[in-house]
Amino acid sequence: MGNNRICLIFLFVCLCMFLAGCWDAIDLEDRGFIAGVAVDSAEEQGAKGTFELTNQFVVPAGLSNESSGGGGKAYRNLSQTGESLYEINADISRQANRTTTTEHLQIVIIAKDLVERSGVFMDLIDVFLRQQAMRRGIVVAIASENAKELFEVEPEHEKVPSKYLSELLENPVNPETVKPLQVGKIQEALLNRNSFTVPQLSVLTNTSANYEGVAVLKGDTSQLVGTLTGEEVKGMNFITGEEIEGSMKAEVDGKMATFSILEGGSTITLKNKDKNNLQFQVDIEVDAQLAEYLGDKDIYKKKHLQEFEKVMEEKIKNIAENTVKKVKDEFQTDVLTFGNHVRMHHYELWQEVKNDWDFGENYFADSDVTIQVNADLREPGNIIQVKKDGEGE
Amino acid sequence: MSTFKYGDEKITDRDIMVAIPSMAIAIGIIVFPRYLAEKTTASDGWVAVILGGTLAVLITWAVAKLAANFPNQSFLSYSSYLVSKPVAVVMTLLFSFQGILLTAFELAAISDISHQYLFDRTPIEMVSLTFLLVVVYAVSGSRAGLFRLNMMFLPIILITTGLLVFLSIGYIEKDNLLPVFKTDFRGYAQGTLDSALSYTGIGILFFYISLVRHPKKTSGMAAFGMSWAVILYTIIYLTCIAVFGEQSTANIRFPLIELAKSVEVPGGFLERLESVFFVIWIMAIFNTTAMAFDVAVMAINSVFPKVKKLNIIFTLSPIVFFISMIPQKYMEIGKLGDWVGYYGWGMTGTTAIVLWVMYKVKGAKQSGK
Repeated sequence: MGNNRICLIFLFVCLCMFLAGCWDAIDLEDRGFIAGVAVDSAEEQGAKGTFELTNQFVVPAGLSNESSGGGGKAYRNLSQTGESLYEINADISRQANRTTTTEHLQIVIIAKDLVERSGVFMDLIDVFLRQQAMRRGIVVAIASENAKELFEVEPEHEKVPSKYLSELLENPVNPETVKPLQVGKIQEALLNRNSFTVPQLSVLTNTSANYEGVAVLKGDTSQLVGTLTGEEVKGMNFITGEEIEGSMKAEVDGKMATFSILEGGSTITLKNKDKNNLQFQVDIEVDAQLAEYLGDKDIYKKKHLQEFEKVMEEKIKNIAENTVKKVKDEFQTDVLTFGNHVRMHHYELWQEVKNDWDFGENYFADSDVTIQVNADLREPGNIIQVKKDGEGE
Repeated sequence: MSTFKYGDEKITDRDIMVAIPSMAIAIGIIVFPRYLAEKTTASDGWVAVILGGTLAVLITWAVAKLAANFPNQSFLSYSSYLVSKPVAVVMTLLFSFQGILLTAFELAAISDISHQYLFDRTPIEMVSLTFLLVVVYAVSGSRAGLFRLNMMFLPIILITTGLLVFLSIGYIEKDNLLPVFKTDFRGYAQGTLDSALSYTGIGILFFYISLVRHPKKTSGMAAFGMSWAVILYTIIYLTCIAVFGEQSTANIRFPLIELAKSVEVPGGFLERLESVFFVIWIMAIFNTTAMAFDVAVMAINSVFPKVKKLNIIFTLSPIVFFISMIPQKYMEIGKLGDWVGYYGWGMTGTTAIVLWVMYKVKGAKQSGK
């Protein structure tokens, strides 16, 4: 009896040792947290189909405040070249003397010259979706020149460039940008062979990056066919009805007026079912506020109000039509969600055209788009005018 | 080692009502959106979930109603009366085998998934063994205790899954839900079959209802409990489709886990919420596994009433562990899951029909015994 008890106690003491153990324990200090990944082409240095992968690690010591010691850089960029991104990552891990951890990866930047080749973009994205530690919320951007140079941009307010870049993609409320694009959304688009847009960044100065515009990628090959910038992006947003809020400049009687668009939306309708000449109509609704006006019209007069609204409508129509022209006639790539509209509301027709939508036969390029705008000037702002009415009414 | 006793091992209607969804919510909930999205268009899969669910609810009701006609009698005793003793023994052993298979499958699947996402360097056998030991511990105690555990875990499971759906609202794209009702008949039929298969373990009712003291209302309660699982499945399916779209859902290995991984609590405070959900799912799967194992033990015990329960458990556990180690690759685990599903449904369906027919022929004269 007593013997038994001693045996049990001994067993429990032995088992206690296992309690503290964990097969998978890696101390926090031994982990290398990757905040960003940049992919460049490495063809000048090596054979075809090789990439240069740059991982940006967070250096926790550099993140602490000046007062509590530390200082120095808060990041560390390491690059390697190879054919498989996963293998390159293993090489970098050796170089970094840390176990790389991608759980906090925020941004992936891919150089434009890689995306210009057919099919490369999809191959590159695969690993970011397949790896278990990757989250579908990782944002993706394209670098106009060299992707890894963006990781050397050191803004004053943020210590880790990747964090700055991902915030740059997520934050701005500006009609010339699009919603941040996550890897999960890319998988959706590629599986459906929907064309999509990717934000395009470039280095502006040592301390800031520039949101250049959005790159247009074909859904079937994931090849980059062109870039929309400035007002072209605005036109795209007017047509898709997303991210409309922001400023818009127009001229009223030769005097500049800037409108701040408060809210808006769009509806797409399909007018006929002749697949060789589909006719889409886009109705855009916009509510705006007058933000800046250099003229002297009294906007409390109804006819002036109507004049302002008319100017806005024409301007929006103009912007949207330019975008349609560029996207439909030049790129022949549907990033304006017309295909999605057909899929949602005319499914039988979509079954007929989906394999030749904006590739192959390209029914999209053969379609016609008409645009109608209805703009409301809801708020005049705080004041009515600064200058006296020139007309003397 | 002393075992705790909660009164006299009797349970109530409400325990059955909770046990049914606890049993149904298992590995299936993590993978079923993928199977369904493959076969149906856009959001149409919900029709299949509901149809399959209605089937499951009906069978649940039928099984519970039948068992409730023989209050406080074990499966072996009333089936012996209905279809003669030897057939009843074979049926009981087949049910026990189903319990063993289901336990082994859940064990294999949970170790595989946690090996993938949580412990990639711990040997898979180690994870399996630890899980099995905890299940064995639960089963060797009081049966009523197991039901109390269900009662404790199920609300947590339902609330956290509800929370996950709530947090996904920000990621929903309503475009993914359209168009509606474009699936052909074949798609619906296959989808219904698939979703019905993921409602596992209705067979436990044959055994557990004998523990209910006054089983008059039990059949209604059991069917009601099953409908919770159906509602939960429908909501999860629609959320997956709305967030990922039909094509992506069909191409993600574990859609529900990916859903948990994509959700972030606003504010960047909790970036990796999936660890919380993992804990909850492991609890759900633990409940299923423990009950499946318990039913296997109970069935064998009814055939060999002289053998001690603990001896049966210690004989079965190595067998379960061995079966769970047979499938090595992800394909084989999926195959095992399919078989377990077909076997369970076949077994439960056939038994229910045969016993009902015999019951109608013979009547329930012995029920007062």
